[in-house]
Amino acid sequence: MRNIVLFIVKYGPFFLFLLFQIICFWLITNFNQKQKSIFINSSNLFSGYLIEQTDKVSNFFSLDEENEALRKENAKLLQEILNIRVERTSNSIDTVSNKYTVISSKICSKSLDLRNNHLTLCKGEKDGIRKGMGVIGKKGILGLINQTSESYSSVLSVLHSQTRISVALKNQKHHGYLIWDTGDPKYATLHAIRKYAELNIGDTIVTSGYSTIFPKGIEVGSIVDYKIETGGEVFLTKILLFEDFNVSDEAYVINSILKTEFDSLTVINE
Amino acid sequence: MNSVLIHHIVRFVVFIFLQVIVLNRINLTFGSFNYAHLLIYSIPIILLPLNTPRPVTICLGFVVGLIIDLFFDSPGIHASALTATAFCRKYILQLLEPIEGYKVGSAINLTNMRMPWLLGYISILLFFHLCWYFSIEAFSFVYLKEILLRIISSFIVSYVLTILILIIYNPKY
Repeated sequence: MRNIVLFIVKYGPFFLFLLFQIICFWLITNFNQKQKSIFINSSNLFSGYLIEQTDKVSNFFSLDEENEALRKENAKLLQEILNIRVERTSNSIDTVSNKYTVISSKICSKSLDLRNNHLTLCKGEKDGIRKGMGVIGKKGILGLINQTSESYSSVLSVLHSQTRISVALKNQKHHGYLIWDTGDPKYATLHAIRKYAELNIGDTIVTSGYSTIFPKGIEVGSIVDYKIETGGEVFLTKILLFEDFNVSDEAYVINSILKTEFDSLTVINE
Repeated sequence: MNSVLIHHIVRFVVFIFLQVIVLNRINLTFGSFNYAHLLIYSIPIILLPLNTPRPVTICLGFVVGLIIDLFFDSPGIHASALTATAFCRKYILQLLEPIEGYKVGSAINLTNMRMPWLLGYISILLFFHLCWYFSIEAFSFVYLKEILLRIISSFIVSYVLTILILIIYNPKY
């Protein structure tokens, strides 16, 4: 008790000073227009800055969920686009038009530098992914599903020596197939375009839609170089792939609803 | 003792009236240079006797500042500056203490103190007071140049006026 009294006596003037300054500050910021506005403005600046910084931190922690939500959103939009495209191109009312559903996924792992490259998606059978579905990325096609497990699936990448993808020239009927034999993840080769097709450097290559794996008209790449195969009837075309496999981290798996029906028919024909 | 008290009360009243009735109406404007203000109401606080209890000094500073604020229509600004000045008075006195110490209960005036000491003491506290006042008045260091101009020009005119008043009136207590 005595110490408290001594303390107050010793620092009394200081506390008095502090008290009066606080009162003055209150008076100044409440009853003076200029100082009041400065005070309010700068405290707003400060609190705004603080809120912004904390937002940045919390945003960082919710980034994963945000990305997942965006992927789902993208998948939904993509699905819508594909189905609208199908509806627009099917001209008779009695044909059953093919429908697509799109499943979004993150890419868990990938290889680029091997002769036969694979991707692994973080979603599997329980999310509806089945063997044989097509996989596209943000800008172009990625490959097709060749194995699935409960919650993962393996993708036969476009950058695989066994992958054949049926593609066509945009706005022309000529079609061929895409093989990756360049060894460079940026380029692939387009085979079997008949030599009477009109090729131009920079022409866009799209999926042909002749199989049910990929819907018609998904952009794959553009022509950077072409020549007629020696002694042959077809062009050998170098394609710049739109999808950058180095940076791609999102995949959209395309499921064609009529796929099983179509496939059973093809098997019978064969 | 009683006469000392009355003397100080009268001095406070006189300085407050001098400040709000006379000096506030003096407009020291030279062309576009309007930074000089005569602010001498801190002098009674500065000249309080050496043995005035500190809490009393600080309370007096606050009250006188508030009264001045009433006339300036700027609640809190002068009070803040004068409270700070009253608070710092002791440290300046300690800083300027002669080797033999102050005489107990002595008043601060020309009879007791030497002229250079008085000039230095008043200039430090007056300058401190003006610094605090103009900083609070601007309430932002965006106008630093303007604040400095105001402080320096106001200090010069107020200081000269204070010295003149002290020489003419030469307080006993």
